[in-house]
Amino acid sequence: MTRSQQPDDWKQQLTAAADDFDVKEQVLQKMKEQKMRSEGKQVKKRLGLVVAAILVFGGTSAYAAMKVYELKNEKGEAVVKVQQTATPQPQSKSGNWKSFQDVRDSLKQGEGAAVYMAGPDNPKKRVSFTYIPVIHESTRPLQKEVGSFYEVPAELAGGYKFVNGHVNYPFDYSQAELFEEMYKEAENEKKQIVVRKVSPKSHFDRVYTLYKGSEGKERDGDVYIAITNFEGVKYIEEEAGQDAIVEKVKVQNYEGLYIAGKLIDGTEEKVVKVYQEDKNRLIEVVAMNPVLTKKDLLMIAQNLK
Amino acid sequence: MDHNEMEQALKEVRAGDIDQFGLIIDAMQKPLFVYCYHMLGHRQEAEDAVQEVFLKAFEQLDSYRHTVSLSAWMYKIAYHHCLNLLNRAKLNRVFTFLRAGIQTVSRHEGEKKVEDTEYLNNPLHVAIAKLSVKERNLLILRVVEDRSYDELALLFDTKPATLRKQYERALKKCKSYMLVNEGGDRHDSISATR
Repeated sequence: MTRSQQPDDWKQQLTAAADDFDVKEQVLQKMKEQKMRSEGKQVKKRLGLVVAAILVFGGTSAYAAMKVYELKNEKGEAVVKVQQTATPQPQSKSGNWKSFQDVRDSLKQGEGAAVYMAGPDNPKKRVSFTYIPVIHESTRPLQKEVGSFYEVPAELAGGYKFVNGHVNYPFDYSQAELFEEMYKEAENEKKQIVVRKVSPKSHFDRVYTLYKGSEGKERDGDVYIAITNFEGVKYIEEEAGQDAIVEKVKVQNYEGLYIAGKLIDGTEEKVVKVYQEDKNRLIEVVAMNPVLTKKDLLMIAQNLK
Repeated sequence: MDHNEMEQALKEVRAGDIDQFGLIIDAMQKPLFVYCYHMLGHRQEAEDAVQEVFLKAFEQLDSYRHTVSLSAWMYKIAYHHCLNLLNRAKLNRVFTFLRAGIQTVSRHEGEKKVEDTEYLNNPLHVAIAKLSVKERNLLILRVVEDRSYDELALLFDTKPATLRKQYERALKKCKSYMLVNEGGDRHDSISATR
């Protein structure tokens, strides 16, 4: 654009991209399928849209949601969405998983890395980021790191005691130059995996804590608690398998969700999610020990501050 | 398609005639694509986003109130959808609480932008991509859609005067980004577009 150009030139430039855009037939088709589904006729059809995939190597087939469960804020906007789908759980290739874990093993606490795995399993050339948190073995240093965002309990209802905890920091995910460098390195040096150490941002997005019961049935711990900082987050969307149980629950006068399903490694997982609008956070209480019941999780969530 | 025709089509869709939604798609798909394309900075993402926006609008038709036009309401859906996509890329989510000591594994989508060289070849696009999500939203709706501050105020629950200031700031920033990108005395007319 030059001095002589009129303001309309901007409009022209911006709208030019849509000249040959037409998705009418696809959208109408999907709407009809949606209507059929809602009428009880199960139509299992690939959506073909971008649906969250797990990890850089998590190939999956995505199908339309069968049912959506939501937690809403005071304005009535959904902040947590759990879609119960017929989506097969993504299966990670063991080789990829091992390589990724090798990268993590090479990092020290407090270090982060960008990982690019080249090859046909990563057609979209995704770059994953990973961070090795500083693990706190007592509540005091963790409390210092999270400040007033969350009061870290030393013990949970039911007698589960604090084992360890850490804070997660997100990365800048728009590092075009870095990605280009990594692609080139993989191509020029015929590398399957390219790793770059990168620093995360200074503001944390999640706090994790692990607790263990006196019986100590689980090797690492019995209960995880994760607190997500909702600053700058409009909503979080997740999928639950078609066999998962999803129910609305009430915790501390907040509406919550209880979800029981299976992880990709076959482990049973039970979660209670509670969105606290006044504290701008989402609390998730996760049972890693199958002995814990829905009632146990609700009791733990009920007593968190 | 004028406002009345749109409302009529909407009425028939609500009565069960899905094909009438085709008229709404005809009228809205290109503007929505332009909006999503410049919000997300990626053609494929924008194409998917537009389809999602239509599907969401269809699902939520019962919640549409006539306080704003149907098209404005759809822009609001598009805004939140794009915002969510952009936030999701930022949010370092843990997908599973896997044992084996793996506590944080994130997904990254930012690299998709790298693939869209078409987008990055245009200095105006590059400048817009550097704006914040809110600024991009305002700029597109004002420049492309000629939406009034009053209408935008209703839509985004902000005062018109505030929006005007934000818009002027966004224009100024955009102009300076373009000057930096092209290193010359271009784009001086931009600040006078509104």
